[in-house]
Amino acid sequence: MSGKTGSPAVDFELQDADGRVHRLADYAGDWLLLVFHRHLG
Amino acid sequence: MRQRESELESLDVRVAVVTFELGPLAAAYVRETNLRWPLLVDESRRLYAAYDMHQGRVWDVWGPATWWAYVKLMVKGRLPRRPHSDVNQLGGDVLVDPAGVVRLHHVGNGPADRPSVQSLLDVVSSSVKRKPNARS
Repeated sequence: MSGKTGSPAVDFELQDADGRVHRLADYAGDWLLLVFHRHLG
Repeated sequence: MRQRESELESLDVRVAVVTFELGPLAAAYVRETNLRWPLLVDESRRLYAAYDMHQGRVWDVWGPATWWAYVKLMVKGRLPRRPHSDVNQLGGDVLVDPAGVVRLHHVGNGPADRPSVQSLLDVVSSSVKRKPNARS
C-alpha cells in the first residue's frame, strides 16, 4: 500500500468519455475503485 | 479485472477507470473494449498527481516485468495496442470506502505491477466484517 491509505479521498470532478460529469460525491456511500490507466491500450 | 466484475458488483464496489488521454481516444477505447465502467478523463493529470502517479523510470516501464506482461497478453490472443501517447505515465489503483477514506492506494511501477483483485476484495470483505451492529 502507498502513502494515501487512511487519508480522505481526493475530491474530483471529471468528465467521462461521453461528456458526463462525475464527482467523488456521486460515489458517497459506496465502495469506489479508481483504476488509473498508464495509457490506453 | 473485468473478469471479476461480478464479484466486485456483489460486494457493491463501483469502478471508475481514469485516463489522461483526450476525449476522442477515450471514446474510441470505450467502444472498442465495450468497457462497462465509466472512463473518466483527467487530461491535466491533477488526480494522477494527487495520488502520486507521476512519470515512471524507463526500467520500470520497459523492464522484464513489462515484457512478460505483454507476452502473457499475446499468448491469450490479445495483441498489445500501439500506444499513441505518454507511455511513461504511471498508473495504479485506489480503493475508497463508503465514508470517503482511502483503504488501498497502489502506485504501479509498471504495467504488470497491480494489486490482485483478490487483495481488493479482501480489503472490502474485512471492512464489512468489522462493521459495527446498527443501533435500534
